[in-house]
Amino acid sequence: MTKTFEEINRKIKQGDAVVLTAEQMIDYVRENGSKKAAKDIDVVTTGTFGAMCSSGAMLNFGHADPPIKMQKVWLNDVEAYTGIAAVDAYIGATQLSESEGIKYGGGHVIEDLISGKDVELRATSYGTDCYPRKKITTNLALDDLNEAYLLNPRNCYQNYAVATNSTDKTIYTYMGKLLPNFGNANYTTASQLSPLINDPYLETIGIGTRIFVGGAQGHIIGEGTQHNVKVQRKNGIPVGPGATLSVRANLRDCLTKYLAGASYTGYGTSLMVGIGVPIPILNEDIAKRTAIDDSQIYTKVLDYSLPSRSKPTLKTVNYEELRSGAIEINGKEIKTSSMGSLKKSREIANLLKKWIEKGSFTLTAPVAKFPQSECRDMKHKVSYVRDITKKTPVVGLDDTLEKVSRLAVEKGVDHLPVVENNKLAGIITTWDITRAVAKGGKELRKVMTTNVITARPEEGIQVVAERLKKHGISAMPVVDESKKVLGVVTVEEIAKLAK
Amino acid sequence: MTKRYMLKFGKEVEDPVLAECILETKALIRIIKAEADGKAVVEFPAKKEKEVLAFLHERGVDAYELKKKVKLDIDLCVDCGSCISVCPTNALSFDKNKKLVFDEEKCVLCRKCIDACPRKALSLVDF
Repeated sequence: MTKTFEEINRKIKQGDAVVLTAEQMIDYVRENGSKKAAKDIDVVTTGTFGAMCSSGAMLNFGHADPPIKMQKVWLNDVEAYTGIAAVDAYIGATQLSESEGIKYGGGHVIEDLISGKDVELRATSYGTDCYPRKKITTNLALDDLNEAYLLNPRNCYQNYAVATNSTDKTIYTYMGKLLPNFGNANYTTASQLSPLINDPYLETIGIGTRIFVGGAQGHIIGEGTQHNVKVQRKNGIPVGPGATLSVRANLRDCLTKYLAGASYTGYGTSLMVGIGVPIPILNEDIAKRTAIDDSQIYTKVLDYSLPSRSKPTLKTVNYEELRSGAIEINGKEIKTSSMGSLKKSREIANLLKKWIEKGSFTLTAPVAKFPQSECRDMKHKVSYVRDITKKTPVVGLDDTLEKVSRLAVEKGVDHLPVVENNKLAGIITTWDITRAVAKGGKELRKVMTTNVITARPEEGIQVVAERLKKHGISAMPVVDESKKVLGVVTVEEIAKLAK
Repeated sequence: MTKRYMLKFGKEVEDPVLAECILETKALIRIIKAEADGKAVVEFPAKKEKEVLAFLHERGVDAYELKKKVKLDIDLCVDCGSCISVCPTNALSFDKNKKLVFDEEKCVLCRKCIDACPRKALSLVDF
């Protein structure tokens, strides 16, 4: 049983199309099988709502009189990019307010425009014969603009990692607030409802596909940036980031309910975007794939405390586990949070379903399919801690200070990691020993520093150099996941590299 | 008008102090939460504050007024749930429709959720 876009559209116009949300499709296929589902069901609707940083709006303000060729422009003190024609500008979601910082940014400007609020435009220029004006300040609302389009270079990641934090300090990331010692774990996708999970090989989606964007009928204009199809898959679904979408919609048709500014403490601003993609059930394979459920969709739990591209994978989990509210890491129950709203994702899938059922939304066959592209990291010279880690002697927790000082002298080192059961327990410096002698301290465990600042072999040199500087220290032990000492990294070695 | 206090019972307090306090002061004390480590959060009418505090002081119970509370602005909330995993007492959770709900009674004012909300929908307000 196969169908075409034209056949489905005919049914939509007649009001006869059978539409299910991706969640309803799971039950339908379970009860009736994929063969019957392919015959009975015409469209499956998907939905997702969450922060999508690679978002923004292209705006045209109209010309002032005398006119200005804007060289710099700010909207509510958030700079927009105007390296294009005179009064065109692109306001990006993550650009921060110059006065308010992380509290307010491009995403909030977009939300304010949609809600009908006035936004202060301030622009400067060098002035030309044809554009003599050098500055302007005025208040504008969405209705005062010419074109105002949401133009998002990358939305709707097919899948994404789960973030957690192994260190003893809270960290603030684009994956939200991560509590110390694996205190929580955050994930982002709408999983079984998510658009690109329901069409994992992008068989029905491409350039020109009409979709739901931020409450409006918008379009997919191409693959998103960092689009990646060369990925590890499980049950057909990438285990981690994969395909992405670039989308466009008229800001005037968008609603703040589905397009909202966001501010992540310690990280920055973003735009929460609602997207719904209709999947035409053209054949049984497509029907089968839209019936995938959370238990079949996997992703990796990564340690986000390592600010490097190669974050340690702690385990692989499925979304049924994540949605249960807790996952287990190292024998400990850890609470999970979604960064996106499942409630709104469902609303979007249901709204899109209603639009199709009443004939106000028809399907579009893609004008062209996406390329089979791969996402690579930046080409540049990278140096890792492992490249400059030096071997180091270590001392045992029960060693005498005398033995420790003798070892320091013999080996000509100032820092000695202290280990217990093959794990880092502390660090002792020659200065610690000197002080101990002066004050009459005898036991190593009382003289050493136990709160040791450490580095991991896979960390970048720059990050570690910053850490040394921040703590005012000249060396630190390099340890693996199990806290086994691999060596030391010193300021001298980093300085050598800089030369 | 009610007042909210965090009470810390020392190890030596073995009598049913709160029950005696209620009988003595005739204050309607509501126990919002009691923990195994000798801490409790209680609420009572503001007009009984002096009497209740005097009684508790005499019996060696430390009392700290909780002047602030966490407030969820549902107009700003987008039901993402970013706050759920940082909440140690499950005061923030989803209802069956995945709508975010805040159970004030479970909140221990740890404030971890406030800077975890990307919509700034959670804030500390005067109680």
